[in-house]
Amino acid sequence: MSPRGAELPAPPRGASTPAEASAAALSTRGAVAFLTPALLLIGVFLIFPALWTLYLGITDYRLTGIQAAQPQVIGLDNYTAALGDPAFANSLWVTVLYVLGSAVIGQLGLGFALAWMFRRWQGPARNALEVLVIVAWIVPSSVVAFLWIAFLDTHNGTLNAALGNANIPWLFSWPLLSIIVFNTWRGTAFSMLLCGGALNTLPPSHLETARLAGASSWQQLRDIVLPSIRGHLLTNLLLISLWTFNDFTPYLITAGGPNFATDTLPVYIFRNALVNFQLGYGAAISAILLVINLGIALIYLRVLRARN
Amino acid sequence: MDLDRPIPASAPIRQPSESALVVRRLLSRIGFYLFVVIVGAYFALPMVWLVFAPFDAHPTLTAAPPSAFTLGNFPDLLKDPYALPSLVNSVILAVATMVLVVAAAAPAAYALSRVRIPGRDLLLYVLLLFSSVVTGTAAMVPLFLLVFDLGLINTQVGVVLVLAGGLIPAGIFILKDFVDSMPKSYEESARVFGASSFQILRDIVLPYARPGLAVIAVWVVVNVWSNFLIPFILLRDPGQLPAAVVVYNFYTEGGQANLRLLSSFGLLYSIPVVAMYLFVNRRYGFRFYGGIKG
Amino acid sequence: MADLEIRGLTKVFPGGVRALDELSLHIEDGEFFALLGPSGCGKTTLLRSIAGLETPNSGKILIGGRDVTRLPPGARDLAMVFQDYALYPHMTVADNIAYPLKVRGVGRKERRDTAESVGRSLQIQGAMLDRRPGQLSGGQQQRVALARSIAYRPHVFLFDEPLSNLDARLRLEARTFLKQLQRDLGVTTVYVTHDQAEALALADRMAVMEQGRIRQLDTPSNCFLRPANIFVAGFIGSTPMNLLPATVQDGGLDVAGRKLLIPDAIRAQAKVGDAVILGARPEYVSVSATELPDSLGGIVRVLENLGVDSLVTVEVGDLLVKATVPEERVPAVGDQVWLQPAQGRLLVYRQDDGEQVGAPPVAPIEAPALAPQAG
Repeated sequence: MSPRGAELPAPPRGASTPAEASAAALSTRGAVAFLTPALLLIGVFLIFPALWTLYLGITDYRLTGIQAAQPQVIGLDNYTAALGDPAFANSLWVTVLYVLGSAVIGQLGLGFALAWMFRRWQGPARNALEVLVIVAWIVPSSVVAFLWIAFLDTHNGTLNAALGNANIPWLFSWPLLSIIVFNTWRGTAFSMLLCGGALNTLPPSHLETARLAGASSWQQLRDIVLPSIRGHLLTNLLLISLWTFNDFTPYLITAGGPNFATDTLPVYIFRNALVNFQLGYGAAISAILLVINLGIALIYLRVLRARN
Repeated sequence: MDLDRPIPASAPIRQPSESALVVRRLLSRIGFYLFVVIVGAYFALPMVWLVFAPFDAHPTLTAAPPSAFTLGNFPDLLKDPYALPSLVNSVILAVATMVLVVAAAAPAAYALSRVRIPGRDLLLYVLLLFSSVVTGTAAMVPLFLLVFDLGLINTQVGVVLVLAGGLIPAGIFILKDFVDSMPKSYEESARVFGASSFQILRDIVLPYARPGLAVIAVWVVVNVWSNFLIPFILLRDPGQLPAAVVVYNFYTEGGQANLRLLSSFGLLYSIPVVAMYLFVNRRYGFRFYGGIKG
Repeated sequence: MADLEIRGLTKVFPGGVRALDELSLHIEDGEFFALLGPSGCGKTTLLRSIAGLETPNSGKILIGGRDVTRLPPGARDLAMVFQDYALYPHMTVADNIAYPLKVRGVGRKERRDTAESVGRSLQIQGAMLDRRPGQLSGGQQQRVALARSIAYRPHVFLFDEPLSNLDARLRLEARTFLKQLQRDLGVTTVYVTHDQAEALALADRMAVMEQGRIRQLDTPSNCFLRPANIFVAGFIGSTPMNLLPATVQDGGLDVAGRKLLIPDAIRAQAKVGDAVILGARPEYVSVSATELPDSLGGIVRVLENLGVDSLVTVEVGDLLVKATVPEERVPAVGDQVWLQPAQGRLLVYRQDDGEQVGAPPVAPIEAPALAPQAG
């Protein structure tokens, strides 16, 4: 479970300084002893499960019945079944919309806008807004899920009350839009903080030079700011996309419904594998999700490397 | 270059009239405030319920100042058989995972920072890759089966091991940054004075890394405290569930949710992570590895 | 106390960088010895090898006659002051000073007493002893690092650019202080620096290093007045030495079409037609407004005020020659002037290997360049 929020550090670079060899209070054998407990835990509970997923995906494993005792390798049947299953296609499509809407447009767009606004705005209103955005990000997910269930409630929800007792059944009529708006609310803080940090790395003299040349705010943004922090924005985008792909929180609000309108891949996997106990099929979908994650992570590491 | 040459006439500097400037500035001000109000409402309104409802003797789903103010919802939590025990369960899971992660990640981070183990860079790369790729959702099937086969299903030990396995890589990276930031001359100087490896680790490295260990500890606690999925799929016995799952059960199980219970318990459960986040943020700033969150 | 001997030390880093190349050196008991050179010349590697923080590939290190080459750092009885001082931020000043004693198992009371007495001798006392290093100024931190080394009572002091983190003014004060302290303690000291002024000011003897080898091993004044080769000539001196290509002619030297007298000392060793490099420090070049025989005539192009003197840059043919002039005799830009090197101060180097004319030829790779002084 990728701990959301631990912005991944730069990948290691090659050649280290020669002085390093003698610095440590450890021999190579000592170092191996120091590494062993961590590697053991990571190996058993992180790396092994990932590899096992790939194996399970080609079996007809179930939790009960004959397949539980002696699962058969059935090759790519699970994958062909998934790819031919309209429910899977629906789930993939829903997930893509969810990621595009809430991460790419929502979190990154709003997060950057807030960071850009906060750059030269001081005072209590700014601080209050910043704290609100951050609190939305850190309150545990099972609590915020209910806050949004209440907020969007058809008859008593605060949103409908604010709209003059509109009684709009948000979670029924616009379920996907609802969880996109929810997840934007939920995750904007990370992009806001990261963009804020990126903007801070920009030397003030760059913008001042542009202002002396008569550039408008928009021109400064387009010609100076965005090109300078492009790397930050891209890594941020990849991270939040990866997290959103794997986000299980929509399940707590809509449980995939109504009528599979919010059936994102994590929810789809959960339902097939751990509710219907089609473990082989669920693992195949998991493997697909892992490959998506791997793709994003590889691009991410490449971008990070290029940035350094 | 001829610096005296005037700017060519093909690039005139536009001079908007003063009144146009005033209007434009006014419009951009209005637009700015409108945006701030909308965004402020967006972030505030869903949260308001959690602030008011716990203190309302008869809360509804609508966020409104308490119609009948009371603190009685909190003592009433004692009457629920799962509420307070689940907080204890959350503490157990968080503390146990934290101890395990710190105990495993700290020595590993030191070794990776200071010793040129063959294949170190590859190892770091693989760790980075796996820790970001293998999420709880993507690996829920094998994790469930693994814990099942180990006979740890429905035990807190299973939850702790799975959570620790997922958090250790990031913990190693954060702590490795800490050790990397420690000048090598600290250890070298001690070695010149004849200090043993054990003395160097005890007297210099550990005290130096203490703030880093504290950050990791808080970061793990916040992550585990908020984590819903892993205990949700690995625990069945209601007496074992942490608060994250119990809150969810409060509004999904058994008909009409008890809003007095739900709101006061939700608030009680949320306060610690907000407080811990603010603590870490105040002491070390957000840039501390992109903040913390479960 | 002890002398220090380095025999044929070689250190090759993984990747093939030869940081030390068959380097040999003897440092007397009680001597203040400076290792000077540009970054990457191997001076720090040499110091760290002496400390035991690097393991040489071959060669020997002897401290007081004892072979320490394979001993761990802690068994060599030496103390090292690092460039960043390596003061532990989580310990008080007193604990920092006494940490070497703690390592040796000395009791708390005695550690405190030592910290106080050593601290007092370096003006570290009172409340300062209970502060953290982070609360001290740079100069104070530097003295705490010194105090910690002294408390260890080593046979040899090793300094790795200990003044480079101080600002210019403080650096001068600390320099004087350090020299006084070393005199008082009489401990053999090896001092690494890239600042030639620091080495000249502090050392009894110094080694100028380049690419893992010693290019000159001598007293500071000899290194300054009679650099053994172009490398040393160019490295030492706060205003860079004039290095002018010239050709030996019958009875003189041709420089950019002008003629200079050939110094007596090398007349015998130079053949007519030899290509040489002349070295003349700006301090030893006189400037005349009237024409002189055997001088370099040219036009003043730049004037730089150095305080007491001014530095004059004169265009002589296609060469630029620098000279310092006292304030009352500063010419104007555009003036025609004649430059003449002071008697006995003009140095002549071979163009091919850069060594002084008269010195034995130096093989480009093999032998360590322990060039003897030519006259």
